[in-house]
Amino acid sequence: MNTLFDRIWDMHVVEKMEEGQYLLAIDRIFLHDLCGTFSFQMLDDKEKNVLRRGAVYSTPDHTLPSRKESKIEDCEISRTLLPKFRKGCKKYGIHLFDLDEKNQGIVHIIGPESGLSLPGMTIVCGDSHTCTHGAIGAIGMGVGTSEVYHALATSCLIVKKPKTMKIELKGKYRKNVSAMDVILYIISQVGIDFGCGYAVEYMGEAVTKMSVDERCTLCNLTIELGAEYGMVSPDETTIEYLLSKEYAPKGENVEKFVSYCNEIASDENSIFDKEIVFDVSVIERQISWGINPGQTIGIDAIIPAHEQFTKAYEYMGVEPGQPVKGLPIEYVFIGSCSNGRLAYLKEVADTVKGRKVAEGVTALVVPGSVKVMEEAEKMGIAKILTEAGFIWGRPGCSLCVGSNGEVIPNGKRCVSTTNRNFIGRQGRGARTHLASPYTAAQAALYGKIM
Amino acid sequence: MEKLTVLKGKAVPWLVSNVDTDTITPMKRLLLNMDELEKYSFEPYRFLDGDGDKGELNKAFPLNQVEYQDAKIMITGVNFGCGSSRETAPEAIRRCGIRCLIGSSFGGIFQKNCFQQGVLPITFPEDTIEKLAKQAETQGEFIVDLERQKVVAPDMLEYDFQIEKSRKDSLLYGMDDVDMTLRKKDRILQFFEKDLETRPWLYNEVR
Repeated sequence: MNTLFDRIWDMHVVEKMEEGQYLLAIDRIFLHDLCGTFSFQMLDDKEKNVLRRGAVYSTPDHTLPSRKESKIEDCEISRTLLPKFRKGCKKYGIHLFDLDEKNQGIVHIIGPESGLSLPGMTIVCGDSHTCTHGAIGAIGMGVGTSEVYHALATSCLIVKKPKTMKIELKGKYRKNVSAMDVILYIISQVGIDFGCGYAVEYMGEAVTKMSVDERCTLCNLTIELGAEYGMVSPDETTIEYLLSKEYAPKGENVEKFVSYCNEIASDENSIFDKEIVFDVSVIERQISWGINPGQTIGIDAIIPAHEQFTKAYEYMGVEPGQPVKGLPIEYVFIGSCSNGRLAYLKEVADTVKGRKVAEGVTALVVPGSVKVMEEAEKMGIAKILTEAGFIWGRPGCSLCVGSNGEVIPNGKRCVSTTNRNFIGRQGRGARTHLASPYTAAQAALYGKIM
Repeated sequence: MEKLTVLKGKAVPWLVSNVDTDTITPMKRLLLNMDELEKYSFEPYRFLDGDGDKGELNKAFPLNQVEYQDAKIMITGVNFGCGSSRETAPEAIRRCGIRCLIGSSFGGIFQKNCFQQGVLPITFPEDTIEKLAKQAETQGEFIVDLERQKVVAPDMLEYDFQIEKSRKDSLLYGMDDVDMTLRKKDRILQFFEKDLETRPWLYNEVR
């Protein structure tokens, strides 16, 4: 029996080419200020048009300065790219959620949040974390600029069909352990190339119980497993979450939509090429110590010894056998397409309420979207955070990728709720420790990994 | 796209595992000035202290070694090009003069981007990669024949590789994928017309 992935795939085949290559129809394209701007440039250069402009939505996220008071004009990258991005949107007739408008935010947050990403869709964006949209049962494809251009001009992509993998999560997670810990744990156990060539679907009781926000975190970091696609079958949680959204099906379409979701969902008869099971009840809080997301250990564990880790020890300024707990830190970043969602920010606020960020620590919280920001402000989350000494930022990608020019200084240590700790990711010489929002909040309060 | 038919030249061996695209083209180097993409490519390895601004080259990095200056092929480690979807990564590699990567596995998005940049990624089992890396150290000539789908190592041993026909044709003839796909425009539009009946909710907001 087919899986969710197979069913969506099969429905989108315009042409079966050869040797596993398909011409696949693309339902939705999201553009952001970095890749989007360059794909407009390609359309210009090659004198092509957008085939179905109604399928395309755009928003700036990558280049925006993090601080609310910062002006776009003061950020060289934003100042250079944003006008070109806006001009491209206008020229090609593409809907833009512009700066500070409702629905502006990190593309992978606003997709599910607005209902523009729906179960059964094929979704393309020029960002590797497009797999996030799989959380609501869509095929999210992260691609480079040329393929964004291809999707814009043809509403299709030439894609090779991957194999399918089921990751079953059973059990209940422990207190203070979150979806971020679960996925970091999985990556640390199987390695960052385990998923190469596969589309992953997460199943099992732990996944069923997860909120859509948590499923987004799980799917978001699937690319760090080497798999280009991460998915969760649409269920009651998904449908309930989506139906209240602005762009979700309305009126007579609701019934059709719900039965379609049930039709495409995987079931116990679905056959995968590979299956693996994890018991989430054994997972403790996780933190990365090295230079890729697989170099992650439990919060109470010691840094492992192996000669292949030499570069990681050197770059991170750590030694084998050393406990990770207690390492002093100077920066904390909470946000991104991994963890910049409302429930997480609330968890952080609950953790730090009435307490203070440790002296010498710069702690930044950046909501993932304008909606998240407004809700958090309404609920008093932003107030709790700022009173505790956190900086409350402007929705965008911020310090996850440094494409706004902001960096963690050379040699400084940052606990970050993002998805990549590669060398130089947060700036040259910056030492990134990936962790959950709760663990990041703890680090901010103690000034060390706790 | 620049065509690729037969490549003859040295291969540079660099079997580091999990080289990510942030390492291949650091964000700082690609935001506003793309002119020096190749100069700063692999910055954490290419420069001492990983610092391209200080500019002191790390002689242990094979691409800095004089014997590999004219290499056209690179033998790479497991999961090469993992991470970010930035297409500047294969672009920088091409600008370094490398038109073919031979490794046991590649980051999926990177692998697709390679084709867009006219760089051929070839996959072989790990033990073959180790043999090829040893051969590359002899600085002998490799031949990569795309038409015949063969790699010939300096010891004259031949290895057949797999590639999808459309990818192969694009490289051989330097064809533009978009032009090829647009020939099927009617069929594509028909797909969406038909889909409108199946999934009307997707088209409500389409102007």
